Amino acid sequence: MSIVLQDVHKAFGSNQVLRGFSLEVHEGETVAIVGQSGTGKSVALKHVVGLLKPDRGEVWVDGVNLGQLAVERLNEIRRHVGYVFQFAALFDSLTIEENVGLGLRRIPEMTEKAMAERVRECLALVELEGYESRFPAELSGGQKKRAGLARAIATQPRYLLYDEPTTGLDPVTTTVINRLIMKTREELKVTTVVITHDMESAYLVADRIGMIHEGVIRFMGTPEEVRACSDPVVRGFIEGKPELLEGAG
Amino acid sequence: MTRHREILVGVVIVAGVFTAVVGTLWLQEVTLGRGTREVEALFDEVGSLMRGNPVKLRGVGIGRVQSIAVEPGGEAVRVRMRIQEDVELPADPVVILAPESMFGDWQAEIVCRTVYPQFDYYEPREPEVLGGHALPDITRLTAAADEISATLTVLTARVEQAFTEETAQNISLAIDNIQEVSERLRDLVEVQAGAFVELATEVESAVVELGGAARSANLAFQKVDEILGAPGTESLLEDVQATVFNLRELTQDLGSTAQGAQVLVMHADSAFVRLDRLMAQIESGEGAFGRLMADETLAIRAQDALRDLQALLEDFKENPHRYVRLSIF
Amino acid sequence: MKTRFLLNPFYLVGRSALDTVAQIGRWGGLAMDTLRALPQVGTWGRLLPGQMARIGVDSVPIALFIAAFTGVVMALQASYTFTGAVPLYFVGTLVGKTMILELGPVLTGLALSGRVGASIAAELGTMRVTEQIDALETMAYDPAAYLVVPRVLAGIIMFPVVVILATATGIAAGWLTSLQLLDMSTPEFMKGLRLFFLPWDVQFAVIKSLSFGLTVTSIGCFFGFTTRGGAEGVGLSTTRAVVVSSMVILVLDAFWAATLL
Ligand SMILES: Nc1ncnc2c1ncn2[C@@H]1O[C@H](COP(=O)(O)OP(=O)(O)O)[C@@H](O)[C@H]1O
Ligand SMILES: [Mg+2]
Repeated sequence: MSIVLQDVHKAFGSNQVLRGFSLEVHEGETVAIVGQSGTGKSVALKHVVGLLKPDRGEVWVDGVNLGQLAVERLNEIRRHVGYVFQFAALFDSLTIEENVGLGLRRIPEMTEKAMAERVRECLALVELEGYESRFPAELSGGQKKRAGLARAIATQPRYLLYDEPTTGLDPVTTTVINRLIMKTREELKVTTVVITHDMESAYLVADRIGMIHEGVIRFMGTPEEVRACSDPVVRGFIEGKPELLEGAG
Repeated sequence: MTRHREILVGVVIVAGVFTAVVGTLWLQEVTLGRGTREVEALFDEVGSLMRGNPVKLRGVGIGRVQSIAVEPGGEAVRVRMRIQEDVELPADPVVILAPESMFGDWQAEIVCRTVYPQFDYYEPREPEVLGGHALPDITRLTAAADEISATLTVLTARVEQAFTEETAQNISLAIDNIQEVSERLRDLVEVQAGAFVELATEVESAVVELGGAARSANLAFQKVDEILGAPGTESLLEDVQATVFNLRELTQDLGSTAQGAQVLVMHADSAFVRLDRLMAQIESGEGAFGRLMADETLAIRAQDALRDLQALLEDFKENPHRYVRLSIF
Repeated sequence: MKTRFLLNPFYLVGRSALDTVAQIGRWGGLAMDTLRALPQVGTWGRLLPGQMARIGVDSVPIALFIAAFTGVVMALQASYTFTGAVPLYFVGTLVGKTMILELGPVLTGLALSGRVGASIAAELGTMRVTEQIDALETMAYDPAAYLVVPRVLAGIIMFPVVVILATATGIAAGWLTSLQLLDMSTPEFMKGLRLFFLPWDVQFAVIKSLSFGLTVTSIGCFFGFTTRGGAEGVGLSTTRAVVVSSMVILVLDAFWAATLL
């Protein structure tokens, strides 16, 4: 059991976002989190890498409670986690090559040559060869997202967290990214959490799908179970019927 | 981060440090390669001397005042000066503190004691420490002139009341004294002349003229017998009054800024023109003291007044500094 | 209702006082993080030269420009004020003393709070709202070591250098003005310049500009780090960084004058 969120509560001022959010992701498993925007999917994911601290509840990663962890120990864990941000969050002042290589610099035994080799490899994986010396501002939204993905996988992490990797992308790029997610999962046995709006993607890549609603996981199950679920909230979401969500409360 | 930028950073830092170090040394007038040494001197008091003021020898800057501190016990003030190592001090050196200009900046001048024997230098017990003396500055000089002017006012007031033969003799005695006082004043001015040249020359020539006027007055008063009964006393007295008024203005101007220097000279000029005319009148036998002599009580009062004045002037000759200080503080 | 209306000013005063204290506390927190990040030379050492170039070298032209014109104006105004009454060589004294003690450090500090402080706040603010700072953290970088330390160190190192160059430029401009427009001679100007000069003046200016460098960069970093919301939040942080660091510079200026002079 490698990622556990247990009864996590998180509020920003008076805005209570998570109200007892619990999630378990097993080793090598891929879990998709779906839910309306603004319900706290990103907030939940940020707890996994300690970017946010829960007001109440516990977060365990790799068998370690992140609660009172010293920064050094936390960084130790973060080295094994790749995080793909919703809006890529590439460093504006660095080239694509430097962005992707930044995590590699933290690895002591990494030589400049090995680093360049790995960067090229990752960029090839996301089909961004030839963009090494561009700056993020010179890339399109989809290209940025792919570069962010390359950056996340560069250090060969054991955990990968994707925050809406396919939102706003054209269908072709979406397929490329979905395949990439599945490929890394199969090849590297990476434990993966994918946040998405896109049910097609979720069905495709996920072993299990969880739906977040009003700060808690409303439903969790395999794609088949989700398809068969009769909960009006889940149905409302996957069928895109807001009136069902309203009625459920 | 290109290599070019890194070089630029280096250049800017080196330029900054270089500017700070060289600028500081240069503003301090430290000449690299030439050594300095320290000279100490003791004073009764140091006037307006400050840390950083120049130390001079024969008018040439050879260093700066390093520190000023009252001795334990408060008996004296110790001044440390850092001067160029290779400068040789004169035999029996003493230090005179004096204003460098009218604007508050002082200097310490190292001189030979025999050149200015008239000052009472502080005598230190340690052999290598120099003795020193701080000169009164311009305000003190002004005060002395003020004193004289006040005395002259008293004199005129009395003259208005009575003018006997005896009085005349006393006056001539008094004027003798004025002459002496003015010479002392001139000495004082000469001491400071090196610094505020322009103003000092004016004051000096004024004082010389005052002395000259006094001498001719002395001569004139010897002839006072002969001119008794002559007409024109009133105009004579008016002249004396006007002269004294001018003298008074003159001394007030001495106290104001350098801007007043020109006005001051003009006042002095007209004062002496009038004094000259007065003397000429006396010499030519115009004016009459007869009417004054007729009133005996007046004559006695006049003599009293003149005795006062004379005592005052004697005392001023003996202890000029007493008056000087009194009128400042 | 009426009493609430009357109490409003008190509420506002109390509220803003508490906010200010909270801000200072948060600034202190960042300062602590920054101190703790100092040993991570491997992280910030590589970035320091770049920041020194950005904060120091790139600020030289504007600093020199301001100082040069200040020097000219001071020489002219001094001579105008001194007309007749005070000898002209005091122009040198005035230009030198005020440039070194006050105008060099403070004008440069204020100019750089606009140039450097604003750019740091905007840059870090953008990084904050676009999650670049979060991204750094997930990559096991300490944002304080990666972003704050190089900037603050560069500020502390480069501000005094820029101030010294600016001060020298200001004095040189005052000297040229005295020569060309006031009919003074070089020895006259130098005499005035040296009249009350103390080496301590330069040390004082260096201490002052060190503190200004620390102020401008750390406040810029602070407002950048605490940016909330999108582009509007970045704009707000930038403005605040400039306003607050300008105010702190003036307060520090008075503080140093009261404690060190
Ligand atoms: N750092 C933050 N400060 C304050 N509010 C936040 C912060 N991050 C997220 N929120 C709020 O939490 C809620 C959930 O946001 P988020 O997790 O980004 O939603 P989503 O499910 O679309 O990813 C939103 O209302 C958002 O305004
Ligand atoms: Mg989100």
